[in-house]
Amino acid sequence: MTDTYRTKEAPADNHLLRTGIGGLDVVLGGGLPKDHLYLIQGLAGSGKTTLACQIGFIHAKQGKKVLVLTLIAESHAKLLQHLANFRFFDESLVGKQVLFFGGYKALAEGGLRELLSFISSCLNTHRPEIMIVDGFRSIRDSRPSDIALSEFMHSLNALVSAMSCTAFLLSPVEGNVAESENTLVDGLIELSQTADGVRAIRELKVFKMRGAKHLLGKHAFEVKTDGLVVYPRLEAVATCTNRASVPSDETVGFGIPDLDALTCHGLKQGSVTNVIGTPGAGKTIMALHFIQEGLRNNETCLILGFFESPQRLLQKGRKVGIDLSGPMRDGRLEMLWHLPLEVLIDALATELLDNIDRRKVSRLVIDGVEGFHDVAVHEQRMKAFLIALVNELRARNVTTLITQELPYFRESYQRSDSAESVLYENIVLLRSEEVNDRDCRLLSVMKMRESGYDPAHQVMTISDHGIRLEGPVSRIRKSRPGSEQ
Amino acid sequence: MKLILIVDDEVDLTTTYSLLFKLHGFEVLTAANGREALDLIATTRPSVVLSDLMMPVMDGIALSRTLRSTADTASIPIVLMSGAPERHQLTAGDYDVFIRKPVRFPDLLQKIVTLMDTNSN
Repeated sequence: MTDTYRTKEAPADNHLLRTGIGGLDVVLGGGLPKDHLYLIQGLAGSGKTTLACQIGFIHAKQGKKVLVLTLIAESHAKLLQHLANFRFFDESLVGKQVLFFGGYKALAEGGLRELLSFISSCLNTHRPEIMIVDGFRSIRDSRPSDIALSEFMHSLNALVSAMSCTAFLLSPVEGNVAESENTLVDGLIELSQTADGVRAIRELKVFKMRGAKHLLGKHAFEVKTDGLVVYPRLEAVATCTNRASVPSDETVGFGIPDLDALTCHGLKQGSVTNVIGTPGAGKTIMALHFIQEGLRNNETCLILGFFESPQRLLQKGRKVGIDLSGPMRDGRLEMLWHLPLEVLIDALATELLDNIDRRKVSRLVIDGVEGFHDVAVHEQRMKAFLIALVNELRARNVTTLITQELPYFRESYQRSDSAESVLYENIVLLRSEEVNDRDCRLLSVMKMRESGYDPAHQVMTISDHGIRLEGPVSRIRKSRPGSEQ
Repeated sequence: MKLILIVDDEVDLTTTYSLLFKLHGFEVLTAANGREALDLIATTRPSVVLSDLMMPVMDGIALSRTLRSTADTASIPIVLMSGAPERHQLTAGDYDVFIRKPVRFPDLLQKIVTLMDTNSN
């Protein structure tokens, strides 16, 4: 994952331990302040051990020493077996850069004092830069007094600081409760699962992080073969970065000469256009014209779709004389396609913005904005999410066309006070209406924020040669029935 | 015998340093303030004193000046630590080594070992 999001005020690098986990450093505000003590908590199966060990192995590969101390009675073989499922695991580092020790015996025989002594010895002998203590539950199960546990936590914190070690305690609980292990650590990260119907969404939350400006709230993550991938909540990142776009006076075409003529040569570069229409009105074909125009101008293009596969889009384009197969082969055009099912909305945003940054995309189609609504777990986020997404696209000067479907049967189209309309500089409406006893496609330019346009409703036709505008509907209505194509 | 007296009102720090110095062959005594430290020194002479500056009852400056003003204890090496030295009016005679907190233990150990070697020579 590229460094798509750059937070505004990241602290100096040498004070931070970058986790190396995609998206997590963004959530943390750049990384973890070094030589501090952190608690990673979450119920069984939440991903704590994977997260901590992933950080460990990433740094071990850079030559750092990592110590994994387990406080459970099981051997390390099971843990290694689990980690071997991930690409970050490197068996050759085990026993060299990544050292495994068992602290259960020290805890069982001598309590917290003996455990602290054991940890001191490990740190002194091996001088790890990172230490992972797995099985905090065993400490709780040894039933220390509150004072003894507080003293242990205080001393452990002082110990890791004195030994220049960043340490992670893993605890199988949830919630920001007022227990010693929560209050006496420098940072508290929780991994949890939220139910969305029968589906479960993994989420990460930073409750506290001393010395760092982290993003609040929950952020979705996935556990993949590479390990954890965190998808920062787009609107939280956008609030922090607060990127401003510089409006452009350059104009780019729709790819439909008749429409470019109606709109004073087309769209402002970097603008966002909403093409709204009933099913079959021609939204996608208009979007394909838009992409073709970009390719003609040597722009790098991208289509994000939810409902029509890349093969179907190519086929649709060929039927109207738009052949995009060559640009697909040579990489000038890519299509990201996701069925609007169990997809994380922030993962989509990350993938989209990563692609734009990596390939320097200047022209984008999002075919079916309702796809975002369909996959959103928290529907109340959608307005903020779209505001953030549109802003990120503008800040990158990507000329964007977003299609949106209207209901098929409706007596009339009512303009609403929908806040979504303020997202777009330009709005084009496509629909079917009866003209001279037959259904005709109509196109209306509803809004062009920074240029003039012809507001007359136009009759639109789609043929083997693509979209054409036949003229104002008022003129067609006056002509004899059947004269239009 | 290497005996270090660690003087600090932060229990977690004295606990941590005790553990670490013991691992390096030191015997360790701890005190929570300068008064307790003087009481310990009256019966057991340390090889080196490691003291924080800001402490209740008797601070590190008062401790070091008391040790320096007494013939029996004037030659005991003194290492002072503080996170804010500008708050104190230290003079060169008050200490042998000054360390600004936070300090990495390996660096602290190195300074103490060097000081003790110099003192023994």
